[in-house]
Amino acid sequence: MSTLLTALRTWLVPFRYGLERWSYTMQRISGVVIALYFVMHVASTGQVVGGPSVWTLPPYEYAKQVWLETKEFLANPLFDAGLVVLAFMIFFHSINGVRLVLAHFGLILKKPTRPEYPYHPGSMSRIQRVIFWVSVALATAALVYSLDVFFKVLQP
Amino acid sequence: MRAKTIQLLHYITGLGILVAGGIHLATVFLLSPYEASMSFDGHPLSVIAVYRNLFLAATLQALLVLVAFHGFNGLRTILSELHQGPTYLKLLNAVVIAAAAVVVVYGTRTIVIAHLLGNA
Amino acid sequence: MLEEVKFKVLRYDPDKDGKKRFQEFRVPIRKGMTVLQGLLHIKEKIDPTLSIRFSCRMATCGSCGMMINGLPRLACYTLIEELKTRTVVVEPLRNFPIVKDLVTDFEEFFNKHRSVKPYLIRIDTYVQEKSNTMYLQSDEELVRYVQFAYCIKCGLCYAACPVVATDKTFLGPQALAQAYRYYADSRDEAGVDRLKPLGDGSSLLRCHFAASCSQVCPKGVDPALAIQLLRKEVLLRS
Ligand code: SF4
Ligand code: FES
Repeated sequence: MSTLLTALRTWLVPFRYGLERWSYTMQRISGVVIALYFVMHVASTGQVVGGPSVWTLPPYEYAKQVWLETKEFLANPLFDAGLVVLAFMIFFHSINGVRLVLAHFGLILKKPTRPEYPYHPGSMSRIQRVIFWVSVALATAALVYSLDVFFKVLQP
Repeated sequence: MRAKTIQLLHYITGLGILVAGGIHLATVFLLSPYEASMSFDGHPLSVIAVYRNLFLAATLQALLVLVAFHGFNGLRTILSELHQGPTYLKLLNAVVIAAAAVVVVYGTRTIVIAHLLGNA
Repeated sequence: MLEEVKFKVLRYDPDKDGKKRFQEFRVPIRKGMTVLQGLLHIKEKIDPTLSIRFSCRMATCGSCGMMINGLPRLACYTLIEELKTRTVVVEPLRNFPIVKDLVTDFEEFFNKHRSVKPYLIRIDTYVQEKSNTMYLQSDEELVRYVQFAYCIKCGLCYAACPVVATDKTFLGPQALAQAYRYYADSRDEAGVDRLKPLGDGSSLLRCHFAASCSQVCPKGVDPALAIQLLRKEVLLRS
């Protein structure tokens, strides 16, 4: 039990350790949320062909009927709000993921040097941090766009 | 599989998702109005029309497999940090592989049947 | 001018009751006083049972690491005034078992350090043992690793790491930085043999580049950089 508490505290509380720690926490949370959404998405799109019991070609009208009912069930502002948050997470996770791949191969980090004071670690290079902010900016744009799609906020 | 191979696959699937997911989101949101994309048929990029198109259906299939790998491997990574020990890790791997397989099989069924349904 | 700050120190004694609790002390401060000096004032003037570990008082020996106001820092390298608080909260380092009060057990940490073979491995062992041989190195070759060689094994990075917190099989920033330090040394001839064990399990690959280690390192080692450079080699070469 105490390991679980330690885990939740270290995974979810990014304060004090700087930008990269925020990236770590946000990447982790968004990853888990997207993975869970993915499972639900596969389940709900399964309704296109008539639901989980259908494993052979169903009658066209039956599949259409099931899909229309599913759509009605999903037409709920709560689900839409979830999708808006998800849009942010997907874009953040993608671009920040690219940043992490590049960083993991040392591509956007500075080369080792003799530390000179005041010292700034080469792993916290400017370009690496710029990509983080780009991912936040794009994610915010996706959030606004999806707010418009689902709640028509940009339309008079 | 060696941990480093899985790690490389994690990067590769991640980058693959960028492409396949990009196409998926573009078909749903950019290339056709959202309402039209969600309708069963009657629009050039309605649900059934997308599945009927071989290229788009193949993209969805690729996306399914890539996200299943990337997502479940990510969950496995997180859970493997919670607790260690050979028994736990073996059990964790088995559960994660089984869960991913169920999702892939169910999703593949949807794509294949919907593709056939569209062409019927 | 004499001023006072409050020290909130975590106390723990396994031989007494084994309970963790905070004890408060008022400590008069002078200009340029370090947290370590504050703790020593407590030990000398107020409560001699307080256990601390220190030696050099100049950020060289690496024995006085502790959590100060929530961040791992060297007590001898942290000025009380630079904390800019009236209360200094002092706890033992995270991710280490506590021995007593502020003293933590470094055994696992040092074992991980040992496990990466932190010494030059040569094919010509015979020549190496003759003390009159020299291995020449250019400045360029030196710069490739010298930053990582400044490590004083203080464990601050280990305490900051979110992976070490829950994954015991992860080697941690200190040991991994040393693994890279010797791999990148032009005099070392172990090469791929150093990389191979790191390609399996979670000893290296669990690093998620949260870079908290580099945030807290007092010696400019930048373990996060070393780990990424090492990971690249492990992924592509092992
Ligand atoms: S890398 Fe830095 S923080 Fe970590 S043990 Fe060495 S000197 Fe301390
Ligand atoms: S007492 Fe030696 S590093 Fe602080």
